[in-house]
Amino acid sequence: MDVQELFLDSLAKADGDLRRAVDGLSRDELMAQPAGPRSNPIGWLLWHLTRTQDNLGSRATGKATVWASQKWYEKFGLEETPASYKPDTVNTFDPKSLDIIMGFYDAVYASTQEWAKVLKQADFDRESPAANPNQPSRTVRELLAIIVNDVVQHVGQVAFLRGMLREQGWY
Amino acid sequence: MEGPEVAADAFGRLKSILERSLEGLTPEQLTIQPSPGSNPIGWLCWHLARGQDDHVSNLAGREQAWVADGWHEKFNLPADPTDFGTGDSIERVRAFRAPDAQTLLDYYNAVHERTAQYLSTLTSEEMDKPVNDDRWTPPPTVGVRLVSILGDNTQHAGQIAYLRGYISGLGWRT
Repeated sequence: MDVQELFLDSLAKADGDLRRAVDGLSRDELMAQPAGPRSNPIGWLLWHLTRTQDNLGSRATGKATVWASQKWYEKFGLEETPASYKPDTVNTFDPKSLDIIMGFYDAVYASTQEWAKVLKQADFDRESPAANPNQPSRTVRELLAIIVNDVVQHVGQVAFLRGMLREQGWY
Repeated sequence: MEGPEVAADAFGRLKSILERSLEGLTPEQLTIQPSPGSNPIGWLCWHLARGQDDHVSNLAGREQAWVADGWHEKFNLPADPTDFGTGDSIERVRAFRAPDAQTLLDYYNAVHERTAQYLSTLTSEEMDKPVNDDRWTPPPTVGVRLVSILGDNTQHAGQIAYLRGYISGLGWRT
Protein backbone atom coordinates (compact mmCIF):
# COMPACT_ATOMS: atom_id res chain seq x y z
CA MET A 1 0.00 0.00 0.00
CA ASP A 2 1.48 3.30 -1.04
CA VAL A 3 1.04 6.74 0.48
CA GLN A 4 -1.75 7.68 -1.91
CA GLU A 5 -3.84 4.57 -1.21
CA LEU A 6 -3.46 5.03 2.53
CA PHE A 7 -4.84 8.59 2.36
CA LEU A 8 -7.60 7.81 -0.15
CA ASP A 9 -8.73 4.62 1.65
CA SER A 10 -8.84 6.56 4.94
CA LEU A 11 -11.03 9.26 3.37
CA ALA A 12 -13.27 6.62 1.74
CA LYS A 13 -13.81 4.90 5.09
CA ALA A 14 -14.63 8.26 6.73
CA ASP A 15 -17.03 9.02 3.86
CA GLY A 16 -18.99 5.79 4.45
CA ASP A 17 -19.13 6.39 8.20
CA LEU A 18 -20.24 9.99 7.68
CA ARG A 19 -23.11 9.02 5.35
CA ARG A 20 -24.40 6.54 7.94
CA ALA A 21 -24.10 9.15 10.69
CA VAL A 22 -26.07 11.90 8.90
CA ASP A 23 -28.68 9.71 7.18
CA GLY A 24 -32.16 11.24 7.54
CA LEU A 25 -31.19 14.13 9.84
CA SER A 26 -33.54 17.12 9.77
CA ARG A 27 -32.44 20.76 9.68
CA ASP A 28 -33.37 21.04 13.37
CA GLU A 29 -31.18 18.07 14.19
CA LEU A 30 -28.32 19.57 12.16
CA MET A 31 -28.58 22.76 14.25
CA ALA A 32 -29.17 21.09 17.64
CA GLN A 33 -26.56 21.39 20.40
CA PRO A 34 -27.20 18.34 22.59
CA ALA A 35 -23.91 18.89 24.44
CA GLY A 36 -24.83 22.38 25.57
CA PRO A 37 -25.37 25.92 24.26
CA ARG A 38 -21.72 26.48 23.30
CA SER A 39 -21.02 23.12 21.68
CA ASN A 40 -20.56 22.51 17.97
CA PRO A 41 -23.70 21.26 16.21
CA ILE A 42 -23.57 18.59 13.46
CA GLY A 43 -24.36 21.10 10.68
CA TRP A 44 -21.50 23.38 11.65
CA LEU A 45 -19.13 20.39 12.00
CA LEU A 46 -20.02 19.27 8.45
CA TRP A 47 -19.42 22.77 7.10
CA HIS A 48 -16.15 23.13 9.00
CA LEU A 49 -14.69 19.73 8.02
CA THR A 50 -15.58 20.46 4.39
CA ARG A 51 -14.16 23.99 4.45
CA THR A 52 -10.91 22.73 5.99
CA GLN A 53 -10.59 20.02 3.34
CA ASP A 54 -11.38 22.58 0.61
CA ASN A 55 -8.93 25.22 1.87
CA LEU A 56 -6.04 22.79 2.37
CA GLY A 57 -6.77 21.19 -1.02
CA SER A 58 -6.66 24.60 -2.65
CA ARG A 59 -3.32 25.23 -0.98
CA ALA A 60 -1.95 21.87 -2.16
CA THR A 61 -3.07 22.34 -5.77
CA GLY A 62 -2.79 26.12 -6.16
CA LYS A 63 -6.35 26.17 -7.56
CA ALA A 64 -9.41 28.09 -6.32
CA THR A 65 -11.53 26.51 -3.59
CA VAL A 66 -14.72 24.63 -4.53
CA TRP A 67 -16.48 27.09 -2.16
CA ALA A 68 -15.48 29.98 -4.43
CA SER A 69 -15.35 28.38 -7.88
CA GLN A 70 -18.76 26.68 -7.58
CA LYS A 71 -20.23 29.61 -5.60
CA TRP A 72 -21.35 27.43 -2.66
CA TYR A 73 -21.30 30.53 -0.45
CA GLU A 74 -24.45 31.72 -2.25
CA LYS A 75 -26.35 28.59 -1.20
CA PHE A 76 -25.49 29.29 2.44
CA GLY A 77 -26.18 33.03 2.19
CA LEU A 78 -22.59 33.78 3.23
CA GLU A 79 -19.78 35.96 1.88
CA GLU A 80 -17.17 34.40 -0.39
CA THR A 81 -14.70 35.08 2.43
CA PRO A 82 -16.72 34.64 5.62
CA ALA A 83 -15.58 36.33 8.81
CA SER A 84 -13.69 34.01 11.13
CA TYR A 85 -16.10 31.97 13.21
CA LYS A 86 -16.83 32.81 16.84
CA PRO A 87 -19.06 30.93 19.32
CA ASP A 88 -22.10 32.99 18.33
CA THR A 89 -21.70 32.21 14.65
CA VAL A 90 -21.24 28.52 15.46
CA ASN A 91 -24.46 28.63 17.49
CA THR A 92 -26.43 30.20 14.65
CA PHE A 93 -24.81 28.64 11.55
CA ASP A 94 -27.56 27.52 9.18
CA PRO A 95 -26.69 24.44 7.07
CA LYS A 96 -29.99 25.03 5.14
CA SER A 97 -30.72 21.32 4.63
CA LEU A 98 -29.01 17.94 4.68
CA ASP A 99 -28.99 17.95 0.86
CA ILE A 100 -27.28 21.34 0.66
CA ILE A 101 -24.63 20.76 3.33
CA MET A 102 -23.90 17.25 2.00
CA GLY A 103 -23.89 18.61 -1.56
CA PHE A 104 -21.06 20.92 -0.57
CA TYR A 105 -19.25 18.05 1.18
CA ASP A 106 -19.71 15.78 -1.90
CA ALA A 107 -18.34 18.45 -4.25
CA VAL A 108 -15.22 18.99 -2.10
CA TYR A 109 -14.63 15.27 -1.52
CA ALA A 110 -14.90 14.64 -5.30
CA SER A 111 -12.36 17.40 -5.89
CA THR A 112 -9.98 15.97 -3.23
CA GLN A 113 -10.13 12.51 -4.85
CA GLU A 114 -9.52 14.05 -8.27
CA TRP A 115 -6.34 15.89 -7.31
CA ALA A 116 -5.01 13.30 -4.84
CA LYS A 117 -5.36 10.43 -7.33
CA VAL A 118 -2.97 11.95 -9.86
CA LEU A 119 -0.19 12.85 -7.42
CA LYS A 120 3.19 11.35 -8.23
CA GLN A 121 5.73 10.30 -5.61
CA ALA A 122 7.69 13.56 -5.98
CA ASP A 123 4.53 15.67 -5.55
CA PHE A 124 4.11 14.54 -1.95
CA ASP A 125 7.34 16.27 -0.93
CA ARG A 126 6.50 19.56 -2.67
CA GLU A 127 6.46 22.49 -0.26
CA SER A 128 3.23 24.44 -0.14
CA PRO A 129 3.61 27.77 1.66
CA ALA A 130 0.76 29.19 3.76
CA ALA A 131 -1.05 32.36 2.67
CA ASN A 132 -0.34 33.71 6.16
CA PRO A 133 3.47 34.11 6.46
CA ASN A 134 3.27 33.40 10.21
CA GLN A 135 2.09 29.86 9.52
CA PRO A 136 4.61 27.15 8.63
CA SER A 137 5.10 25.87 5.09
CA ARG A 138 3.76 22.31 4.64
CA THR A 139 4.46 19.56 2.14
CA VAL A 140 1.54 18.15 0.14
CA ARG A 141 1.86 14.95 2.19
CA GLU A 142 1.50 16.91 5.43
CA LEU A 143 -1.54 18.74 4.08
CA LEU A 144 -3.18 15.40 3.20
CA ALA A 145 -2.33 14.00 6.64
CA ILE A 146 -3.95 17.05 8.26
CA ILE A 147 -7.05 16.73 6.03
CA VAL A 148 -7.48 13.04 6.88
CA ASN A 149 -6.94 13.55 10.61
CA ASP A 150 -9.32 16.53 10.74
CA VAL A 151 -12.08 14.90 8.67
CA VAL A 152 -11.96 11.61 10.59
CA GLN A 153 -12.02 13.27 14.04
CA HIS A 154 -15.02 15.37 13.05
CA VAL A 155 -16.81 12.35 11.55
CA GLY A 156 -16.38 10.68 14.96
CA GLN A 157 -17.93 13.76 16.60
CA VAL A 158 -20.87 13.75 14.17
CA ALA A 159 -21.50 10.07 14.95
CA PHE A 160 -21.30 10.78 18.69
CA LEU A 161 -23.79 13.66 18.41
CA ARG A 162 -26.18 11.55 16.38
CA GLY A 163 -26.03 9.01 19.18
CA MET A 164 -26.96 11.77 21.65
CA LEU A 165 -29.83 13.06 19.50
CA ARG A 166 -31.34 9.70 18.64
CA GLU A 167 -29.97 7.83 21.66
CA GLN A 168 -28.34 4.45 21.55
CA GLY A 169 -28.77 1.63 19.15
CA TRP A 170 -28.55 3.43 15.82
CA TYR A 171 -25.02 2.30 14.89
CA MET B 1 8.04 8.44 2.24
CA GLU B 2 6.26 5.09 2.19
CA GLY B 3 2.91 3.79 3.48
CA PRO B 4 4.18 2.56 6.87
CA GLU B 5 5.74 5.96 7.61
CA VAL B 6 2.48 7.75 6.80
CA ALA B 7 0.64 5.35 9.12
CA ALA B 8 3.23 6.02 11.86
CA ASP B 9 2.72 9.76 11.39
CA ALA B 10 -1.07 9.33 11.75
CA PHE B 11 -0.65 7.31 14.98
CA GLY B 12 1.68 10.05 16.26
CA ARG B 13 -1.07 12.66 15.73
CA LEU B 14 -3.40 10.54 17.87
CA LYS B 15 -0.92 10.43 20.72
CA SER B 16 -0.72 14.21 20.93
CA ILE B 17 -4.53 14.67 20.74
CA LEU B 18 -4.97 12.23 23.64
CA GLU B 19 -2.25 13.83 25.75
CA ARG B 20 -3.84 17.27 25.29
CA SER B 21 -7.39 16.04 25.85
CA LEU B 22 -6.73 14.02 29.01
CA GLU B 23 -4.32 16.42 30.70
CA GLY B 24 -5.42 17.26 34.25
CA LEU B 25 -8.75 15.38 34.19
CA THR B 26 -9.90 13.85 37.50
CA PRO B 27 -11.12 10.22 37.71
CA GLU B 28 -14.69 11.61 38.11
CA GLN B 29 -14.38 13.70 34.94
CA LEU B 30 -13.39 10.55 33.05
CA THR B 31 -16.88 9.17 33.75
CA ILE B 32 -18.97 12.22 32.71
CA GLN B 33 -21.69 11.40 30.15
CA PRO B 34 -23.39 14.34 28.42
CA SER B 35 -26.44 12.08 27.92
CA PRO B 36 -27.41 8.74 29.53
CA GLY B 37 -26.54 6.73 26.41
CA SER B 38 -23.21 8.35 25.51
CA ASN B 39 -19.69 7.08 26.06
CA PRO B 40 -17.50 8.95 28.58
CA ILE B 41 -13.82 9.88 28.01
CA GLY B 42 -12.44 7.13 30.26
CA TRP B 43 -14.20 4.30 28.47
CA LEU B 44 -13.48 5.83 25.03
CA CYS B 45 -9.75 6.10 25.70
CA TRP B 46 -9.58 2.57 27.11
CA HIS B 47 -11.56 1.16 24.13
CA LEU B 48 -9.39 3.04 21.64
CA ALA B 49 -6.14 1.76 23.18
CA ARG B 50 -7.52 -1.77 23.52
CA GLY B 51 -8.53 -1.78 19.83
CA GLN B 52 -5.07 -0.71 18.72
CA ASP B 53 -3.39 -3.22 21.05
CA ASP B 54 -5.57 -6.03 19.64
CA HIS B 55 -5.25 -5.11 15.94
CA VAL B 56 -1.55 -4.29 15.84
CA SER B 57 -0.54 -7.20 18.10
CA ASN B 58 -2.39 -9.51 15.70
CA LEU B 59 -0.56 -8.01 12.73
CA ALA B 60 2.80 -8.22 14.50
CA GLY B 61 2.13 -11.78 15.69
CA ARG B 62 2.74 -11.00 19.34
CA GLU B 63 0.79 -11.16 22.56
CA GLN B 64 -1.09 -7.99 23.54
CA ALA B 65 0.49 -5.54 25.98
CA TRP B 66 -2.81 -5.83 27.95
CA VAL B 67 -1.92 -9.43 28.79
CA ALA B 68 1.84 -9.74 28.29
CA ASP B 69 2.79 -6.61 30.26
CA GLY B 70 0.09 -6.93 32.91
CA TRP B 71 -1.84 -3.74 31.98
CA HIS B 72 -5.12 -5.49 32.77
CA GLU B 73 -4.08 -5.61 36.45
CA LYS B 74 -3.80 -1.83 36.61
CA PHE B 75 -7.43 -1.61 35.43
CA ASN B 76 -8.59 -4.46 37.72
CA LEU B 77 -9.82 -6.44 34.73
CA PRO B 78 -9.15 -10.05 33.69
CA ALA B 79 -6.30 -10.93 31.30
CA ASP B 80 -8.80 -11.37 28.45
CA PRO B 81 -7.38 -10.46 25.02
CA THR B 82 -10.89 -10.50 23.47
CA ASP B 83 -12.18 -7.78 25.81
CA PHE B 84 -11.74 -4.46 24.05
CA GLY B 85 -15.12 -2.81 24.50
CA THR B 86 -16.69 -3.36 21.07
CA GLY B 87 -20.32 -4.32 21.66
CA ASP B 88 -20.26 -3.32 25.34
CA SER B 89 -23.69 -2.55 26.81
CA ILE B 90 -24.27 0.97 28.10
CA GLU B 91 -24.43 -0.52 31.61
CA ARG B 92 -20.91 -1.85 31.23
CA VAL B 93 -19.74 1.44 29.71
CA ARG B 94 -21.17 3.27 32.74
CA ALA B 95 -19.63 0.83 35.20
CA PHE B 96 -16.15 1.05 33.64
CA ARG B 97 -13.64 2.85 35.88
CA ALA B 98 -10.13 3.83 34.86
CA PRO B 99 -7.82 4.32 37.87
CA ASP B 100 -6.86 7.81 36.61
CA ALA B 101 -6.04 9.77 33.44
CA GLN B 102 -2.32 9.04 33.73
CA THR B 103 -2.85 5.26 33.79
CA LEU B 104 -4.98 5.54 30.64
CA LEU B 105 -2.28 7.60 28.92
CA ASP B 106 0.46 5.24 30.12
CA TYR B 107 -1.38 2.24 28.66
CA TYR B 108 -2.04 4.11 25.41
CA ASN B 109 1.61 5.18 25.18
CA ALA B 110 2.81 1.61 25.82
CA VAL B 111 0.57 0.41 22.95
CA HIS B 112 1.75 3.31 20.78
CA GLU B 113 5.43 2.37 21.31
CA ARG B 114 4.72 -1.19 20.17
CA THR B 115 2.80 0.09 17.13
CA ALA B 116 5.65 2.44 16.19
CA GLN B 117 8.14 -0.40 16.55
CA TYR B 118 6.04 -2.70 14.35
CA LEU B 119 5.59 -0.01 11.66
CA SER B 120 9.33 0.71 11.60
CA THR B 121 9.94 -2.86 10.36
CA LEU B 122 7.04 -2.92 7.86
CA THR B 123 7.41 -2.24 4.10
CA SER B 124 4.83 -0.90 1.61
CA GLU B 125 4.87 -4.31 -0.12
CA GLU B 126 4.07 -6.11 3.14
CA MET B 127 1.04 -3.84 3.56
CA ASP B 128 -0.52 -5.55 0.51
CA LYS B 129 -0.29 -9.05 2.02
CA PRO B 130 -3.45 -10.66 3.41
CA VAL B 131 -3.77 -10.97 7.18
CA ASN B 132 -4.27 -14.34 8.82
CA ASP B 133 -7.98 -14.01 9.58
CA ASP B 134 -10.47 -16.64 8.45
CA ARG B 135 -13.54 -14.59 9.48
CA TRP B 136 -13.36 -12.74 6.14
CA THR B 137 -13.27 -14.05 2.56
CA PRO B 138 -11.02 -12.85 1.08
CA PRO B 139 -9.06 -11.79 4.18
CA PRO B 140 -8.21 -8.06 4.37
CA THR B 141 -4.66 -6.88 3.74
CA VAL B 142 -2.34 -5.53 6.41
CA GLY B 143 -2.88 -2.03 4.95
CA VAL B 144 -6.68 -2.31 5.12
CA ARG B 145 -6.43 -3.42 8.75
CA LEU B 146 -4.21 -0.43 9.57
CA VAL B 147 -6.56 2.01 7.80
CA SER B 148 -9.44 0.48 9.76
CA ILE B 149 -7.87 0.85 13.21
CA LEU B 150 -6.52 4.32 12.39
CA GLY B 151 -9.99 5.45 11.32
CA ASP B 152 -11.63 3.95 14.38
CA ASN B 153 -9.02 5.41 16.76
CA THR B 154 -9.04 8.87 15.14
CA GLN B 155 -12.85 9.10 15.32
CA HIS B 156 -12.74 8.21 19.02
CA ALA B 157 -9.94 10.75 19.59
CA GLY B 158 -12.22 13.39 18.02
CA GLN B 159 -15.00 12.34 20.40
CA ILE B 160 -12.64 12.60 23.37
CA ALA B 161 -11.56 16.10 22.30
CA TYR B 162 -15.23 17.12 21.91
CA LEU B 163 -16.03 15.81 25.40
CA ARG B 164 -13.02 17.65 26.84
CA GLY B 165 -14.54 20.84 25.43
CA TYR B 166 -17.86 19.87 27.02
CA ILE B 167 -16.18 19.40 30.42
CA SER B 168 -13.71 22.29 30.37
CA GLY B 169 -15.58 24.84 28.26
CA LEU B 170 -14.35 27.11 25.52
CA GLY B 171 -10.67 27.74 25.09
CA TRP B 172 -9.21 24.64 26.77
CA ARG B 173 -7.33 23.88 23.57
CA THR B 174 -5.61 27.24 23.12
